[in-house]
Amino acid sequence: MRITPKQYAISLFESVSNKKDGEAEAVVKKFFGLLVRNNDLSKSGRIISELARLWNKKSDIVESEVVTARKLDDSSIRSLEKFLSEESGAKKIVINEKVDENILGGVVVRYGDTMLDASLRTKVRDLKSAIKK
Amino acid sequence: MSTTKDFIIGQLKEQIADFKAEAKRQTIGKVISVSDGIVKISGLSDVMMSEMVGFKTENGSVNGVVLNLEEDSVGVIVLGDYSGIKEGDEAVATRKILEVPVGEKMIGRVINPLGEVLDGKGRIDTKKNYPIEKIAPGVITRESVNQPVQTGIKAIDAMIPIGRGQRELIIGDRQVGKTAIAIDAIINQKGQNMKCVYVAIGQKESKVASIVTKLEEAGAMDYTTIVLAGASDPASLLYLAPFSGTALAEYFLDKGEDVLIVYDDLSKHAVAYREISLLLRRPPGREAYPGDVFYLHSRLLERSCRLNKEYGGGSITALPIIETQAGDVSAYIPTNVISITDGQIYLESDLFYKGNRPAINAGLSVSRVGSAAQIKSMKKVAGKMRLEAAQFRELAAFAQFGSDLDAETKAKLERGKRLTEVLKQDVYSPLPVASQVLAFYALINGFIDDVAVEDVIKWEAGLLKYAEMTGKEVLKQIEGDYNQELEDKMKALISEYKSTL
Repeated sequence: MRITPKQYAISLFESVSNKKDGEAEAVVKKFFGLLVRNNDLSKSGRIISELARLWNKKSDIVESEVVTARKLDDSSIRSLEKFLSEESGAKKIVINEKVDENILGGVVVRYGDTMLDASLRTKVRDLKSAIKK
Repeated sequence: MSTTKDFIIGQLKEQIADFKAEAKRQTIGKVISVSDGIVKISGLSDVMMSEMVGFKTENGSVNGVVLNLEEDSVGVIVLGDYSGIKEGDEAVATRKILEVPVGEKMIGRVINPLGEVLDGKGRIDTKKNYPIEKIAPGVITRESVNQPVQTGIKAIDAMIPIGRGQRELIIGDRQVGKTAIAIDAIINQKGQNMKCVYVAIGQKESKVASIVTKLEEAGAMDYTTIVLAGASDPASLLYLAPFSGTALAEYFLDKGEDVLIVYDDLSKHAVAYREISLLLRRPPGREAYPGDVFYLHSRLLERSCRLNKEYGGGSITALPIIETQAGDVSAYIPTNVISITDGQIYLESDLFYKGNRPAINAGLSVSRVGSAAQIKSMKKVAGKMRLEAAQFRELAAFAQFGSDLDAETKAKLERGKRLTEVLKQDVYSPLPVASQVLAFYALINGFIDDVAVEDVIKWEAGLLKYAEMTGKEVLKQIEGDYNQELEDKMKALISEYKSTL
């Protein structure tokens, strides 16, 4: 039977949780050996992302991506963090900032499956299609 | 000029004010794979079954419909051009179950299954949307079929009558006139208080164009909508077409109107659904059709109904069409649809090539509920005629062996030959019921027995023309009650006509 990346990630996650760094290293080494034996190294990318997802879920961390037209200052990042922790109910928010001038202004926030699109580009586009009608 | 400017500026300001209040929260997913109109998406964790999903591509936005919900992916069929969708693209959940625009303005138009215009006559503005899938009306809301649908085709109106709310299958090989029967029925609905929907599934666009011209010529586009999913459209649109046609029909039904809907044809619909199912990796069954192909058609045809007075009293009459291969009605899809519908009109290529057009096989064709809805005078003449036709079929097979026949048998055979002649009819020339009754009356009472078989068609056309000119009263009376007085009048009319020859 083929093992899916998700199953790999879950088993790795379960075997390294509650272990010290030294022990975990050994586990990871063994896990690598397993991947090589099963000829599943090509799945490593998806296993890693799945593992990160599991880890975040377990420790109540929400990773989010914030796209803005210009770089944000500290106070707006803090208020965004506060907003997001209220929104998602997570303890800790990790914000990955990204600057994209194409969105013109405003902000696009993505976390998990949710996207908050408050960018100027989308508004202008919607306005355009509304006027076209 | 200035008023339009002010209006536009006012609109603009209004829109901008609206947008400020709105911060869109959307559920998104990422495209994992794209193949033949099927897109696999990860994410979209709270998406619903048959919810619309939007894709933004370089060539504009495309919508899709969720058909598969799996452990960590979602299977979506794309409604339109999928070539612009790339791996890694964002898919946005719309929170709306797939629905199509419906309304009065759809009448007389050619639209695609998503309600977009195909005839180039400008946009259709509608206020209402109806869901594609709807649970059929229940027992409490229904009534038995009690009003006729006049198809204008002699063989059908007499022997295989169709009632409003009935589902009558038209089945036969390719090129035997299945579509012609449906189009005739639509043309004959003029002034019968009926809306028509013609759903073309996987048809050649040239064929649909000629149908539209034909309907326009006959003035039938005043009450007809054509839903077209052409042969070059993706399977997703072919799959949706009958459901979206039914959604439009249900709009009229809810207003208490009678609707006639033609699905041309459901075998191509089944093939399109098989394609989608196989691409979604659902397990194949008999003839590689998926397990739910029966449910696909039964839930569609179950939506045809006759509602009782308390629920508006409207009806949807369905004429599904099935194409068989070399007359094989025992293939999977034909047997399925035969068992779902309330009867079938079986067209045979042998009869067609013999010149019996419409090529209806009276022995294999049945209508399970329609006879309750026939008008009185038609019931009277048709009963006798059906008997004669059955006797003729039996004798014709039997008489092939023997040469010595008694007079009675000979007479029966002669009558039968004239009966087949009377039932012949050209395409796109439906006849009003009254004329049909008159012709049948002449036949069963022996008025045609002394006319040569080759001349019967001409004789009958002459009779109907004569009645049209001098016997308008009688024709009108035929549509009412049937009694001795009417019978005498018909006899007199026919004898008068015979004396003019």
